[in-house]
Amino acid sequence: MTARGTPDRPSDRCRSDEASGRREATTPHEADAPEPVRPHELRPPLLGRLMLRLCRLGTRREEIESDLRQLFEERAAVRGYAYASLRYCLDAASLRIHRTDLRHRSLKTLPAVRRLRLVDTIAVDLRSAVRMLRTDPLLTAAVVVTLSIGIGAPSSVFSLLNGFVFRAPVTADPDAFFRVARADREPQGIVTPPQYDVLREENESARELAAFSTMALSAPLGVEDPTDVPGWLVSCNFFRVFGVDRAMAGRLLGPEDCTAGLPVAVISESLWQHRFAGDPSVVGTSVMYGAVPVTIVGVAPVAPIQRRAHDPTVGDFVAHLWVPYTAHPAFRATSTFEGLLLRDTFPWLELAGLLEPGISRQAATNDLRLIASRHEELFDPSPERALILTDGSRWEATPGDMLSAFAMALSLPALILLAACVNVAALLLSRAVSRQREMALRLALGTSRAALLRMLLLLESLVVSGLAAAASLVFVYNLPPLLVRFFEADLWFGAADSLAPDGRVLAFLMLSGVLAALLSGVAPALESLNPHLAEALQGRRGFVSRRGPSRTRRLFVAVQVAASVVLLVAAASFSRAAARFTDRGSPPPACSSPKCTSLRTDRQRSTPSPTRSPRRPA
Amino acid sequence: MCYKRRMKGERIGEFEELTLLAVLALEEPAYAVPVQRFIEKKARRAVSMGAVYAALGRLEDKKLLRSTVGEATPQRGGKRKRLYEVTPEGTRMLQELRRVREHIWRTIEEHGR
Repeated sequence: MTARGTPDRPSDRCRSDEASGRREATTPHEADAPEPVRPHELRPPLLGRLMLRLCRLGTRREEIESDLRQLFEERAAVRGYAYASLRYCLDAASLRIHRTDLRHRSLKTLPAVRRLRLVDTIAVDLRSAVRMLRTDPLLTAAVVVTLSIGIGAPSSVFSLLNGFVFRAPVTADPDAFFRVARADREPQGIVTPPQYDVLREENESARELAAFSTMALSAPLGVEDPTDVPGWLVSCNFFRVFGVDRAMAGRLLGPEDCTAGLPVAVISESLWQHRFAGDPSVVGTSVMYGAVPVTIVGVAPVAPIQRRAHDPTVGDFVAHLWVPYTAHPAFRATSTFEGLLLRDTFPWLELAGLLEPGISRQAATNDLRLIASRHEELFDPSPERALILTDGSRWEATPGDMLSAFAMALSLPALILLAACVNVAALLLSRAVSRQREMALRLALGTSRAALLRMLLLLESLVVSGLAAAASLVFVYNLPPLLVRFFEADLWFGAADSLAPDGRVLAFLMLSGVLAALLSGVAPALESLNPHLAEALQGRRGFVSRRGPSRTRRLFVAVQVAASVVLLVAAASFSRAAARFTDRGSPPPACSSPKCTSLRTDRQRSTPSPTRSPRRPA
Repeated sequence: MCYKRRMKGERIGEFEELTLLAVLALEEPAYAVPVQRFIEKKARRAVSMGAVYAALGRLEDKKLLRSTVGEATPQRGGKRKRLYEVTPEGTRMLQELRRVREHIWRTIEEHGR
């Protein structure tokens, strides 16, 4: 044996470096080692492995086992298997001796372990919740059905509003699409024809800028059928902006039509099928539109379009005939403009367009405003008449009005949700009373109230609400299309087939589910956590105070009665309004101002169509 | 152990100081095995791995060390190591201990003992 310190035999150092590949592989005890053993033949002793297995090392087990294995192999290579085995066993034993510190490090302070523990606890609570639900399937079914109605009602209404407020106006290239509104939101057009010409010529941010009349033409087409056909004066790039790139027969309007200003017309697919039986020879014929002879040059399918970008009181509009706006002098006697408005000094044109790639709506807004400021002789410089670009949805044009619409439309379904939650809370409260002994026992055994609250919320509320939310998908998928078909309100909310819930609706559904869980679950859970332990453990009623039913349950009854009365009154009012609406076939006037009166007049004049008429929903 | 930790507070014991110095002195990435080897070699005494793990853990609790889990390497069968490094607080603590010791030794030498 040499003196303790660095190994003084070169051969030892070489062997050490070979075995471990490390610079400091030798220890003072390992310097004068016997014949080394090849690492790949080694295995730590069974006793040591057993001791290591018995140590509670938590998440650090793999790391520590690898460390000890590495040390074992190095020692065996330098000082022999017996010495390495002895040290291996001693190290394993030392892990037992220092287990407090190891467990402290491995189990308590590692964030990943804390997360795992939480997941474990929640999994246990969930399993317990499912077991409890299965013990009383009838009560569970009643709760799920009640909550699914409560969650489904507001979610269905939200789905309808989603179609009304956030609907994209075009399906082709909606990111580039824009509408132009005015800051004052006045229910009239945006620009005059000369203003449109300037904006179209000078703007550099829109690859297409289309115009169409804010009000409709309305006159019989031909002499056989006296029904008025709604028409529209449009710029000749109108179809490109709204995603129609090809005519079904003939051609679309071209620049030469607008330049010539002749009364040529493209008719809708619907009119073509119903009036002309889909006959392609209609293209090129001349028919009377009111008192004006128009030449039909093509057939095109165009989806309903929101007539005014910044007026939420107007639904979408279905035109069946499109004429170049430059031909407007011929239609003065035919249009709902009553001949007076089709002038170059009155803003009777709406604007829509497609942005150049890479241009934002804000940049395009600035561009249009800059052009307006350069032509002060044409544009009103007042700030309230400033131009604004929107994405075409009602939300971006009039967010304040849309928020009011949300608040009004969701108030009634919210009451349904509240009533359902109160009912469910009462049911769960009765279950909580029946479980008083169990809760008292858990509390007496040391379960924290927070853990019990979590368990009860998961048990009674979140799981049930999750099931109810899943069940309410039936309402969300089916109710909005049914309502739209019943009220023929597709010009407001979109076609019934397009009302499938999107991410926004599903997020609202989840939010409603969580809200329902809280409303229906918190009170019973809190009530469960306040037992008189001694009485409950002795089998007497621990939750009920000696003075009678708890304050919570008295409050529930009051809220339930109040919500039910409000619901009954609201439902009766709604039924009467709906009956009136379906009898008359048109909505009651929303207001009596001149603005509303003019809108109603406009709507009534432009509604007749071969297929359907826009109606205002109740 | 907990009792000792409460008694010492933020101070460290002799073995913890050795461990901290070993982590600072090692040129290679410091994990439990080289730390144990280093202490055994320099202190010339047998050191158990349990003591090393415990000391490393306590030093980490006192924010004098911080640890990261290293990448898996072909050595040790791809098993990952927990690598330690001394924090600025740890370095300051070692410098303070050294200053105190040197001061005491100077005092002893001044007394001619």
